[in-house]
Amino acid sequence: MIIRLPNILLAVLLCLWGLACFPPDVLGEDHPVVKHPAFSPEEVAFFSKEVRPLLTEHCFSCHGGKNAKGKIKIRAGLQLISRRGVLIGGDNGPAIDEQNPANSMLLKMVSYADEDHEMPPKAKLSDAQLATLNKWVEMKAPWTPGDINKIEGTEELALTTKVNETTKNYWSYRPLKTPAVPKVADPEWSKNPLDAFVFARLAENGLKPNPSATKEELVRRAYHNITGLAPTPEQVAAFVGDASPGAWKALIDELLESPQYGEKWARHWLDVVRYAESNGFERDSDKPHIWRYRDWVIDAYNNDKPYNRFIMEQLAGDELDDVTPESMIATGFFRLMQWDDEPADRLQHRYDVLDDVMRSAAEGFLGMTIGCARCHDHKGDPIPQTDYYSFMAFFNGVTNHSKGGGVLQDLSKLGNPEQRQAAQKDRQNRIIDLKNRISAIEKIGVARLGKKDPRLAALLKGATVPLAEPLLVADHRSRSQKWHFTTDKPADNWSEVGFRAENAKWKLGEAPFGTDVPNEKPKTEWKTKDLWLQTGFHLTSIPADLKMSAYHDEDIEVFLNGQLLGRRGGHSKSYVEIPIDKKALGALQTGRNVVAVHVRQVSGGQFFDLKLEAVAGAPGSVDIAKLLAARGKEVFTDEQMTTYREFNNDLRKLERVIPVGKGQAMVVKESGTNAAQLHVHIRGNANAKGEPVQPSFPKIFGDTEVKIPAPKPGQRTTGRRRVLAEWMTDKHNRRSSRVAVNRVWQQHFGNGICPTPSDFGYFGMKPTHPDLLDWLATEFVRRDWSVKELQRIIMNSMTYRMSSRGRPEALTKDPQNNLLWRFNMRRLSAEEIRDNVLAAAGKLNLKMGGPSFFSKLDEAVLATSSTKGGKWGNSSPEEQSRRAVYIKIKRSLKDPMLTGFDFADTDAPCAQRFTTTVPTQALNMLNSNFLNDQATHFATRLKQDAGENLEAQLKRGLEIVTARPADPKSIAIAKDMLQKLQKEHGLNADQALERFCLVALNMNEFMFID
Amino acid sequence: MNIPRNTFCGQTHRREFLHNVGGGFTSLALTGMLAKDGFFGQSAIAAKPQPLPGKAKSVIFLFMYGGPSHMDTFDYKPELYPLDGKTIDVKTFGRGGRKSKGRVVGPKWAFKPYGKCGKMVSDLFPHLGGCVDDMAFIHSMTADSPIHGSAMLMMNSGSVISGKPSLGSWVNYGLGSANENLPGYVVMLDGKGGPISGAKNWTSGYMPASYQGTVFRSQGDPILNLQHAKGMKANEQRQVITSLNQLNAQHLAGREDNTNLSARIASYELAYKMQSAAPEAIDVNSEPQHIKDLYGLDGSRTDDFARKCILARRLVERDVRFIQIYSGGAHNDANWDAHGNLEKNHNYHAGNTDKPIAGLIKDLKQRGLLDETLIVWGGEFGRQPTAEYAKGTGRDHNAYGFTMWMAGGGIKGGVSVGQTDELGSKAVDNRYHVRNLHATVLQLMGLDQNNLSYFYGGLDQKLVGVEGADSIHQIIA
Repeated sequence: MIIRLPNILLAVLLCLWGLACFPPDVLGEDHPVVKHPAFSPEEVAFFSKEVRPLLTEHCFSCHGGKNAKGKIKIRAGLQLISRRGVLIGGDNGPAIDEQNPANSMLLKMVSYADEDHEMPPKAKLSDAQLATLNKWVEMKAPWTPGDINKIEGTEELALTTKVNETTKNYWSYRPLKTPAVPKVADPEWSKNPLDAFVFARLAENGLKPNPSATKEELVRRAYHNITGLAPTPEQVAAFVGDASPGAWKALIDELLESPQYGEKWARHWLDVVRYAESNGFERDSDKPHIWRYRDWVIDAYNNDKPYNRFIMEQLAGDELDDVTPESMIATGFFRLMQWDDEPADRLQHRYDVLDDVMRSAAEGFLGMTIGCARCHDHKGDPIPQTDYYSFMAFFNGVTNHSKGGGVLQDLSKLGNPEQRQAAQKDRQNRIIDLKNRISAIEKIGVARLGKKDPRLAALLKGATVPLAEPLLVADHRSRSQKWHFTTDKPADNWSEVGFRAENAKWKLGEAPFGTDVPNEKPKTEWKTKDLWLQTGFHLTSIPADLKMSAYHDEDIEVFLNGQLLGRRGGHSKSYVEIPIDKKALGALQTGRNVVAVHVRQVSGGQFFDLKLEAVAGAPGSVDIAKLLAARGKEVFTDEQMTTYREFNNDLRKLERVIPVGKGQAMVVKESGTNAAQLHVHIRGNANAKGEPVQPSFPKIFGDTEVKIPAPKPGQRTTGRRRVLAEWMTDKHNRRSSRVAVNRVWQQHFGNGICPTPSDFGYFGMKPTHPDLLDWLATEFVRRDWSVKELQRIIMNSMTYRMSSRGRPEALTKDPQNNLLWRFNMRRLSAEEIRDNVLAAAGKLNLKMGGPSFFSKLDEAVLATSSTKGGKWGNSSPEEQSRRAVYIKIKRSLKDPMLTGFDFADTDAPCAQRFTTTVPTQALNMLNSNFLNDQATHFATRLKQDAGENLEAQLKRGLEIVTARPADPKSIAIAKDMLQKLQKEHGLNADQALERFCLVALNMNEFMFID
Repeated sequence: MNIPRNTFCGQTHRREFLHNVGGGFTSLALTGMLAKDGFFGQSAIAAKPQPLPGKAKSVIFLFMYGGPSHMDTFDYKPELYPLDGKTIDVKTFGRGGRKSKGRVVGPKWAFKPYGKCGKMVSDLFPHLGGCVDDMAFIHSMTADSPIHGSAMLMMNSGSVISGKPSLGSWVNYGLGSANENLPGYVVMLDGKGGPISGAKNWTSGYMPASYQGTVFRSQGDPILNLQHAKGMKANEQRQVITSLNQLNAQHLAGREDNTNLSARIASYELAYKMQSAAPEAIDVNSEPQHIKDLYGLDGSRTDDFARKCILARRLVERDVRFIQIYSGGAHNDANWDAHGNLEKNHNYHAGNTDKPIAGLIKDLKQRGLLDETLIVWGGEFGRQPTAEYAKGTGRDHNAYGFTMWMAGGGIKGGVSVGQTDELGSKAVDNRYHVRNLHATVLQLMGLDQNNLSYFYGGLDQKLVGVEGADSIHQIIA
């Protein structure tokens, strides 16, 4: 987001500029010349005596051209100060109709016949006044000759608002060319063209770049920038200790492959598309399944989805040749906006919503503030109002939003069933194979490490190597699961291991069982009152715990080897977790185990499907994967470690793929191959239709003709959005690549090369390094729109690695660092603050994806909602420890931990967040439940990590929050505080350590990145 | 074209820093402190001077959420009484859609004249009746939507679409904050719950979050996180902040040019001070008995609203710019939304608020504060002259015409402008839109409503719309 100068100043500047550039006689030239008939002196006298005073009194405060103070008064483009002005008229057309005076707009307006068009707005004129106006219009509007052609000019910005050779040549409207890379004297700054551009601009201005930041600063900068998480002290030490020349490059490569990368970078895009999970307004109802869009963005970054495909899928994922569940989910882009289910004017609201979607697309992908041309031609850019509606015509086939139903897509209905099954099976086999390989490497690694490190060996005794296949009994969402079942009351021992259902002639059927229920269909019909089921699984080792979930309608009882494992009465409306009776865990055995279930139907629908998973390892035991990531190098070669990492990456990707045939997504829909004819909306009013429009690209980008292909058999959409997306992703498109690389640059350096990332037009700011921006854009397209490749170019530059420290002479010459003589320091974002507090406390849960969680909100916050408790849910402590990108985003109720630290507003595209500093932030960081709970966990962690020695605890604490070796002075300050808190304030040692942890999490050094 | 622009977040330029920190909550204090500490060469921004002469220094917006019935409160319609029960032709548009006829519900309360101006006021407001010579009524209000969600947004932020800054944000953006220890924009909610759309009603929209309203509770902890979650005492906290300052001073060495770092250090000192200033501000119990009696802080049904009105006055005395108090919360009859039993609903809400509001006007007046405190009273719309259902007295929403009143802060007392038709179904004379109301508030606060703008999304955005709006000059003294 941008903060601008106060309007007064801007207006003054515009005026000065306008006057300096245009002689006064050019002003108003744009208005057509009109002809006037000859009027008799009586007619003119009637006008002067009767009509002019009436117009002056009742109309001129808005349509008087210019008032006494020189302020422009031309509302709706209408100036009633001359006959010419009357005939030119305003946005609703000429004020009088010379051919058919009775049909004049002016008379319609003053008659108050149409409640949307009543003038003057304050009150209807008297009958006598109306008669005067009628008479005057009958006379064809006579006027005094002296001012019959008077017009006030409003065309100061004509030079930028017309499509002409000048505007077409503006930096962001002209075609992309690869600029020549400047030659610079410094050899270090000549290797990467990016550096050469930066160095040359600095040299032109007599400036030198800063030296490199320290290795500690660099590793922290890179971790935060790529993953949003600080490096651990061990990760810092590993990088600082690695003197090899490729260490930095290797670190970048490793970080870009980290799954946390997508979570950090997706959030930047979610700001631009004003992502939220509810509709706003009175009911603020949920947008079901919309979280899949958020996961799609995370996956897009993690898998380095080419950016052109990133655009295609969001705008036209349903119109592609290869429609996939992912591409459908991407079209959730059309469903993210606020939406009023009960608008005062439904037609207007349809276009308010389409406008909102279109602005997000135009600002997000093209850096174009096209929304300004909704009511009139753009005031600063060459975007006529017709361009706005021709652009909107690409979207006019899109159906209205709704609470669910019509905008949901069952993902299982996509593609061909055989292919889906084959792909599913292949995927499962690959997952099992990878898990076995990883497990084998981990066993060897653990054994070797244990030999080297006796303390670790002791710890490892308690650790369990994760099971190759934790899924013991599957529900249909995970994979196919067969059960033996009967509807006749079975023998008393039916639930025990010894009972063989197949021998008792139970039937075999695939889950789920029952009848149709909300969101689910059975695979095996069951309509009787009772159902008994049995299935089994084999174990090679005993898991530490079990986790069970089911969709049941109604009562169920689940037995494990004859022991009651869990029961739940009534019916669920989705898959719910069923608590495990821990006593039953004792019944687990290696070899054959039996799960037996009794389901009882009471009334209505009936349904059963169940999942049982093994949970490995005891709480607090060693995480083998983390251990090997940190210390694997000690026992494996680099190649072996790379293989291990690749296996893990492949596995993660496979598991993250949304399984085909599961669940629903909120998607774009159209009602057919034809869209309703769209018209220009006069003054943005959907009820006032102007000329008809066809889909076309903004004229400023050339006259590329739009050809919508004839519909193919079975096509259900207009195909228009695909044409738009193809135009946007054409390598010659003048904005898409420039806007994309600028956004990436912005998130690395704090500001874009063009500092207004969503406005590349005349009201935006010019790029500080235009050639560099164009070079990056062409390079980006040349490298197949790979965001990660672009980031490698950026992060491996000298420019990215500069120190952030100030130098007096450079601060004087370029205090804002526009020329990039140093790296910009930055404060952590709202999400980073929360995530890193949790990480420091050792509580961060890196579980990825899925429905959002509800963070804990104070009662006082919930009370601001109009509904009791704000319809805010409860999530388990583990869920609440997940990354902030997964916090539920409800338009009317947001977590103050986010909003207090400048979280993006969700009702309009946010190109750049603010960074405010206010005392309520300090209150939150010092006093809130969240911070103090985490400080307590942090203290516990320090005691575990560093043992009993206080100095070691403090040192460890400081190193975790600052990501550098602790200096003696800081330790001394901390020690002094602890002593005083104990001596003077009566705290015990544990309490004092918690206070230290709170202080550590409040440090500027924790909150800011060099 | 090279127009100088302001700069961005995350940079260290002074002007940008002032802008980011500036304006909202305690910004003055922050920059003031930094100036004292020598971070800036010259005196930093004070509370911004009023660009135009304006009498009001603070606004108290009494939001009658749900939409009070104008013809049962302040818009006297003698011709409506005899029509009770008769079905007549009248165009209405409300929750129940557009209708062209309906059964009249005659006004359920008698009216009588009050004051020198002889203003007719219904028996719902015997106490406010005594203040009419200080009040100006606008009987010809119109709004764009007769549906709560969008109408609330309209009344608070000038648009039926959310994402725009609210009136209180604009006032603080235009004038800055004048108290370093309290928020410049305070919102007090009804005990029944928040209004529809919750925080959207006091959002700063596309402006920085520092301009958003802060929810104040009239009892207990006024502000979120004002008290330490685990009971840390003040002197212990002093030690904690002192140690934090020492650590931060170490970090600052070599990074002095980054004023965000010093601003953050200063923000802890301010937070510390706020913890004593805010509880002191809300200490309504310390008021003398005669003041408590004046507002109705007496344990009766008026107690809750009286407490909020006294608190509003105390905040005005402490230079808080904009205070909004909600009468009514949640849904249905928990607010003024009388779809069912009109009498029961309005007797309840008016009975809770009449005496406290009258007390507020009288108290401000006797302290000489009424001249510089603008009071605004009203809901998001009014109600229809006809019944919503076949039976009963409930009235549906009406955005075609309704009444609001203002008092103090440069308002001419004892006047009424505009009128609805003889039924009260729509405004017919001197019609005013919500934008005109906002324009009036801004003008009385010394801001030029047509020039107060904020650049966002390619436009100079204004509260009153890009084309500007006139204020309601007839009620300005």
